[in-house]
Order: sequence, then C-alpha cells, then structure tokens
Amino acid sequence: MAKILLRGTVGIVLLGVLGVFIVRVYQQRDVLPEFYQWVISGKYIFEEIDLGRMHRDLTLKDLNFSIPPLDRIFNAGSSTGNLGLEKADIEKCRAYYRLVLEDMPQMQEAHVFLGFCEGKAENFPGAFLEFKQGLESGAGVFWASYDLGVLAMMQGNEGAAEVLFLRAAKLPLADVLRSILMSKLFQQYMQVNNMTPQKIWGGLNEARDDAIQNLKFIEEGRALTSDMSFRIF
Amino acid sequence: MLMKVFIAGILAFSFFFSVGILLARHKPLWNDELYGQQSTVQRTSWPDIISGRQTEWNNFPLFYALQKGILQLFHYQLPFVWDGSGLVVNPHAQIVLRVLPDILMSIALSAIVLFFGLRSGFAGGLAAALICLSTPMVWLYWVEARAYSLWFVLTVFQSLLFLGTASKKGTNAPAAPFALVHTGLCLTAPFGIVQTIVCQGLLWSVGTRRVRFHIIAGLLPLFLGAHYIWAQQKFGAYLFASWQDIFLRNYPLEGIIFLGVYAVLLCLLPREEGSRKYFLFGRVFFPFCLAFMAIALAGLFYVVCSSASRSLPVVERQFIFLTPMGMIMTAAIFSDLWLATPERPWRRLGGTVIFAAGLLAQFLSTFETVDHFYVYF
Repeated sequence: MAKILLRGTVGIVLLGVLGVFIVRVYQQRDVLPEFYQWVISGKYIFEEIDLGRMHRDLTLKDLNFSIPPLDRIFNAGSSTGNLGLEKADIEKCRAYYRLVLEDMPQMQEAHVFLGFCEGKAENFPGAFLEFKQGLESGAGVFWASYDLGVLAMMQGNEGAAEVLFLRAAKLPLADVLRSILMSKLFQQYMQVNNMTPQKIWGGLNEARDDAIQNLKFIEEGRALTSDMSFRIF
Repeated sequence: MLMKVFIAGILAFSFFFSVGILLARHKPLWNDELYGQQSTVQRTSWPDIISGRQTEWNNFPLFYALQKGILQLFHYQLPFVWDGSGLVVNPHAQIVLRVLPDILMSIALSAIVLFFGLRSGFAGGLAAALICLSTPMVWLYWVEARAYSLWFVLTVFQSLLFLGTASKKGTNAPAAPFALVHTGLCLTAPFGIVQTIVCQGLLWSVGTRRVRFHIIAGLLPLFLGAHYIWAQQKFGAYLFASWQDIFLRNYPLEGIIFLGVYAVLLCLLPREEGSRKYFLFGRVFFPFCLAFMAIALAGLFYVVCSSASRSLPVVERQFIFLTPMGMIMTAAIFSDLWLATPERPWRRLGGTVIFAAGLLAQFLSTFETVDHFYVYF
C-alpha cells in the first residue's frame, strides 16, 4: 500500500513537472519558427550580421545606462511649479526623453513623459506640443488628454478643457492600464518609483474622478478645482 | 577505452571550437572588449598587470597576462585606434582577440560532456552537451575577449574535481589539481576567493581534513588573491537589471525545477530502493550548488539593500560562476536518473521525455534572450 502511495506521489510530481515544461514551451511558441530556422539553417551563425540592428540595440542599452533621476522629478509635489527641483535634474530628464524619441520616434508615450518634464520646467508651450503628440496613440493617451485638460484649465480655456476631460473620462480604464503595463517607459517609471499595477489603477481612477468632477463644474459654471497639476499616474 | 575517450574529447573540442570561431566572426567587438584590449592588454606594462595596478575594475591579472602573452607572441595589436564609440566590425581582430576565450570555453564544455559521457555513456554525454548549449550565458560569453571564459573553465574544473572527489568516499582530494584550479580562480576574479573558501570548506565537511592539503590548495591561493583585493578600486554597486533576471540568466528556471524534482525524489524514494544508490552525483553536488546559489542570492540581496554611491552596475556576468554549476548539476541529475533506470525502459523513457521538454523550454528562452542581446545565435 505504502509503495503504491509512494509511486503515485512520484508519478503526480513528474506529471506536474512535465505540465510545467509544456506550458513554458507553449508560452514561448512565437519563438519556435525562428528557433527551428536556426536549428535547420544556422541562421545568424552563417548569415551576415545586421549591424544596423546591433547599433539600435546598443543605443537602447545606452539608454538603460543613462536613466535620469526620474524618482525625484515625479515625486516632487502636486503643483505645476518645479518646487525646488534642481534644474539639472529636470534637464537630465528632458534630455533623456528627447533621446528616447530620437531613437524610437514611434514611442508616443515618450512625448507625454517629455511634456510632463516641460510642465515641471514651466515651459507650457513646450508641454502643450508634447502632450498634443502624445494624444495620437500609445500608452500615454489618457494622461495626454488629462494633462492637456489641466493646461487648458490653467489658461482659462474651459471649452478645450471640457473636450479633453471628456475624452479622458470616456477612455476604458482597463485598456489604458493594460497598455501602460506593457509600455517599456511606464515599466521603467514604475520600477524607479516602486509602483504596483494596483497603484497605477488607483491613480487612473482618481484622475478620471477629477476629470468628471471638473466636467460637472464646467457644466454648472462653477470654479474649477484649483489644486490640479500635471500627472502621469 | 583511453583511445575512445581521447577521440571523443578531440571531436567535442573541435565542434565547440568551430562554433566559437563562427560566433566570433559574426559578433562585432564591443565597448568592454575594446577597452580591455586597448587600455589593459596593449597599454599596460607587464609589472602593472601582474601587480594589479590597471584601470579595469577587475584587476586580477591572469586573463590579461595570458592574452597579452599570446598577442605578443604573434606580434598582434589592434589594427585601429578605438575612439570609445559603439561597435567595431573587424573580422580579423574579432577572431584573433577571441581565440583564447574560445579555446577556454571549448575546453570547459568538452570537459563537462566527457565527464558525464564517461559515467553514463553516449546518452549522458549528449544530454550534457544539450544542457550546455541551452544555457544563455554560454552563448552570451562564449567568445567575449574578457576574463569570463577563464573564470568559467576554472569553475568547471573546480566543480568536476569536487564532484569526482566527494562521490568517492574515503578518497583523499588530490592537492595538485585543486591547488592549480584555486590559484587560477584567485588570480582571475574577486569572487574566485569566495569560491576557493567555500570549496575548501565543503571538502573539509565531506572528509578531506588533511591540513597540508588545505594549506596548499586553499591558503596559498587565497594569499595570492588577497593582494589584488587590496589593490582593487572600491565602487558602490547597483543592480542594472532585476535580481531575478540576473539569477535566472545564470541558473535557468528549468534547472531550478530539475533541482527541486531531484530533491523531492531523494526524499520520497526509500533508502532501501535499489535505484537510489545511483543518486550519487546529484546528491553529492547538491550542497555545493546550493551553497553558491545561496551566496549569489545573498550578494544580490546585499546590492539591493546597499545604499552606497551607485557607480558599478551589477549585471548577469558577475555571477557567471553559477552557470557551470547549474549545468553540471542538471547533467548530474540526468546522469543519475539514467543510471537508476537501466532495466525499466518505460521509466527511462518517461524521464527522458520530461528532460527533453525541459530542455526545449530552456532552449527557447535562451534563444529569445540571446536573440534579444545580439544578432547572432
């Protein structure tokens, strides 16, 4: 009896392990065709190298080496001013996101991060231009709408603020969160600021509530909340 | 028999060496290799290299001395002045600078394949070869004109010597090979000193208690290494990637799963079960491997908690000592299971299928990692 029990336990353990390995292979099924290609033809070993791609990868690595003091700039306070932030810190962050955009112009959310830095530096026309580009697509669409709404509000342009807050409020937050969690820039930002997806989700909800409240105030012709600031989470 | 082993060794070495040369030919030289070659190998004098007064953080001299010796023998210098920028494509320099690392890595991989081939036949050798080739760090640092391949080969020999000694109860550890390997380790990397101390301690715990052995194979190499620690520049370290990535790149997840299953089997199988007596290599190597895994994790934890000024990025290659240990541990597990099931074809087949699935998963994630890092693979 004990022997049967023992064999059964060993069998279950081994089957479990086999299951884990099969799941691991399944998770990486996208790589299979390329891997097969390599096994069959020695791809990359016998083919000529793609130096352009290697240079691009290297630039990305350089970017990893030069992450600016994001934590200081993003945690600096709630108002739009730079609140005693070192000018050099802001400049480092701006230069960093410009570099990201130079290398990956398709990364729309980099515009939002850059817009946020411009806002912190009180360069509002610059912030406007960057947020506007971030509105087009990517993981930063929600924050681009929200921050542009804040900017419009600061400039007393209630009509524009209404359109932008409405746009932010209408975005499905689950999709927004999903795209944020998949974005390399947001991932980096979350890592530096020790953020969890729950915190990001909380920030999104809070911002949407702010946007809805301001929409109501605009509708009722009341003064908008005055403590709003540029946000990125 | 000896002839067969010799031929198998030559074949394995030739295979690994050829693959290494192809990789070297297709992988451009990068920043660290060029800096090491230009500043340390070419521009630093012999006395400065030997005394550890060089600009590299790793001032341990053995690799640079070997590289300088070989290149001086062939009167070779970089055919250009490196200006510090990006990648350099120069097929001739790529191959010449990486011949030594390729030879060292090929020796290391062939040694593992032969060791397990000798114990459990063709299947053991083949499994060991596949385990080696499915490990990401092998591909990433196979042909890197820096000290990693030397560190790798010395760790392989240290692990195999330990395994060979500890699996034969009552046999005294041979002083000369251990002394040679530990001297090499203590002259190659700062962590070589820790490796020497831990290995000597474990040998003591498995019964090698001759004081003379520990003086020759442990203390003398440690004295040599201590000098370079003293002369080393001090930096505050920070993690360049997550600690999980750093750890798992050196000891892949599949290897950890194999280790866990082996531990479960060891606990479950009763002592009197016939097949348990074959569970020797894995059981003997288990504490060795576990000790270094724990040290690596402690090191990573220390860096995470450290508040020192952040100037030295901690990346996966600083933990490359774990890679050969993981490979040897996994190969030992396969070898034990293979030997434990000679007359039970279904069990053997089942074990092989599980192993094959694990290796395929490991191959795929390695392919993805390496493909992400470099174009070649």
